[in-house]
Amino acid sequence: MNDSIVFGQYIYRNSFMHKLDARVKLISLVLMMIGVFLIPKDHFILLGIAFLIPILAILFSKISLFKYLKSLKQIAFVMLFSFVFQLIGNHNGELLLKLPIQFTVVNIAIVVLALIIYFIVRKYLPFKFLIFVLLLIGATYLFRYPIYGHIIHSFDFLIYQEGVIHGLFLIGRVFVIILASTSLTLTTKPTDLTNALEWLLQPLEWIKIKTSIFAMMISIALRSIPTLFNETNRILKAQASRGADFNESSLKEQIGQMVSLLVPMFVISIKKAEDLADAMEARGYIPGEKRTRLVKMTFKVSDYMVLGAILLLFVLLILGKCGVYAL
Amino acid sequence: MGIDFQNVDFKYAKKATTKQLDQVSFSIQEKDEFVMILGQTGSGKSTMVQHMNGLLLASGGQVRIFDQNIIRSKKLKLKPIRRHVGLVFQFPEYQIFESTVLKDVMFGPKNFGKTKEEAEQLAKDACQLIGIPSDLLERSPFNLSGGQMRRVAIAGSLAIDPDILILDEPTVGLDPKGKDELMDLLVDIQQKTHKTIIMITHDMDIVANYAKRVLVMNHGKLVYDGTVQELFENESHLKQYNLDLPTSALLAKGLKEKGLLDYQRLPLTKSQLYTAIVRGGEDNE
Ligand SMILES: Nc1ncnc2c1ncn2[C@@H]1O[C@H](COP(=O)(O)OP(=O)(O)O)[C@@H](O)[C@H]1O
Ligand SMILES: [Mg+2]
Repeated sequence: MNDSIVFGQYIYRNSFMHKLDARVKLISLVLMMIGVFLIPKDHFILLGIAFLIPILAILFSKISLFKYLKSLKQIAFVMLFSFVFQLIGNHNGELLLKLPIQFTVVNIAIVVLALIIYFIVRKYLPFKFLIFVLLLIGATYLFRYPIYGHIIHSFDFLIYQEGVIHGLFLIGRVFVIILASTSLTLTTKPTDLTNALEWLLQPLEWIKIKTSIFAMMISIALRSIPTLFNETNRILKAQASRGADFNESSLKEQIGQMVSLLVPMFVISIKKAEDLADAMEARGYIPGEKRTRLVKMTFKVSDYMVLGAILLLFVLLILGKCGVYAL
Repeated sequence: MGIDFQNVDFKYAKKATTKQLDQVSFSIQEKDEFVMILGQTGSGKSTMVQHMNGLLLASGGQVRIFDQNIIRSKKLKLKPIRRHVGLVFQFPEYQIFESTVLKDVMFGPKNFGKTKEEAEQLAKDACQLIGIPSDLLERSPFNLSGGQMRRVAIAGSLAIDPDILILDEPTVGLDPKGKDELMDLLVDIQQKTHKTIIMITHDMDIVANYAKRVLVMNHGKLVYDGTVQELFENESHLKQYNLDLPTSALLAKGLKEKGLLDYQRLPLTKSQLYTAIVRGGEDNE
């Protein structure tokens, strides 16, 4: 087995964050998520305090900031759009900026063309997101000064103070949550995470839901991903050797070639599932039966301290929300 | 020149400190060779053969296949190369996906632009070469025995009619009889078609019986390129590369240690051992 392809983002280090109990990290993340959404609108000070938590987590993880920023990249487009929507939609507060926008045939054509070119060549571009933002700014600029053509439609693009502030607050919120959940996934093994989840869902056993079965299913699914990934790779290469090249074929051929990947993957998955089921049964696994653990999860002093601190912050926030004191 | 490697380096992970291929140089003719690649598990054999049809691209050095320089380039089309060099993976039966044996074997030729009729003919020829009885052609490949499925998969590559056929451990998991049958077929195909056949194997008896030329890999390096006899007679090398002796050679050595047999050349195959024993008997008389 080669272990170069590990599912998830877990990166091994010997750090405080890695040693922290997975349950503590999971509970903290859940509380963070709730907490961040309970923060009163546009309260940047509280958001700043919330922001400190993932920052501390990053500092104590011995993992470079770059890895965290990578996960932000995936959601950058969503953040950009929610910001733009706030800018357009929120008309409260002081008027900050008034951009007259005039659509003409020519500038619409240019912008559409630019976007099409962007989406075609984006595969090969570095700094995709930055270029996209520049493209948007360029488009706005173009619409302001219609050089040629007859104006089809014109309106004023108004930017209000609250739009900007609220947009920033929204981005800040998402930012905090993404950083916090990335801290969890970067520093916690998927198996620890499922164990923590199982522990957290224990109360469901009272209403006769077998959480252990679900946890086992999740563990197996996670464990299977790298294996299946390797197998897919192998079948892809084997079929490529028989001339099924997904890069050098027409779309129609590619659909036929898809079948040559899917059927073997089904066969392999089912075979592996059967083997695994047999192996589990042979070792006495009975679904839903009470099981002992190889690694007992135990809370350490540091776990209690972190959990305590997070709980304290959360309770303070709730009390403030309930009006016990002014936030 | 068929395949030509010059100081080829390769790493799976960019940042890794160990290379999976390390300064590998050799060349193999496009016709009439029968090369076996040996080496312990993880020594880079599979990695090396995947460079031979452009599935992996070298990170250093030069790979030339049929005088085409294989480099990372958008312009380079790899399909024509795979038309010349066929690669059969380990456990190739997993690549089978069609509803009948014939259709599955036709997949390759069809991908390389053959018409249905041409593909069918090529597939039938390939099946015959590898010894698949014609009454199996319309059967579902998923109901065949392991050995038969293996042959169908090999036929799938053979049908493309490559000049060079590479097989990654084709005999692994077959019973002894199946192994010998498959090897005899491969030798037969090689003699009939004059294709160059390259195969990876762990089975020293197969090496002793069938190999003309042997390449040995060790920790990503090509450490031996020569004849079988020379390889097995150098014991310190064998130990160093973690290779075993063929069964007949082991037996011969054991007999020699006990003073029961004497020979100049280490017998590697059953028939060589037999000759050595018979001749020894004659000498004593
Ligand atoms: N897809 C892969 N990703 C990363 N490492 C790999 C991959 N395939 C093989 N390796 C590594 O490369 C080395 C050589 O492997 P391989 O060529 O398969 O050896 P062999 O076929 O001689 O057993 C091994 O150390 C193996 O772990
Ligand atoms: Mg191998």
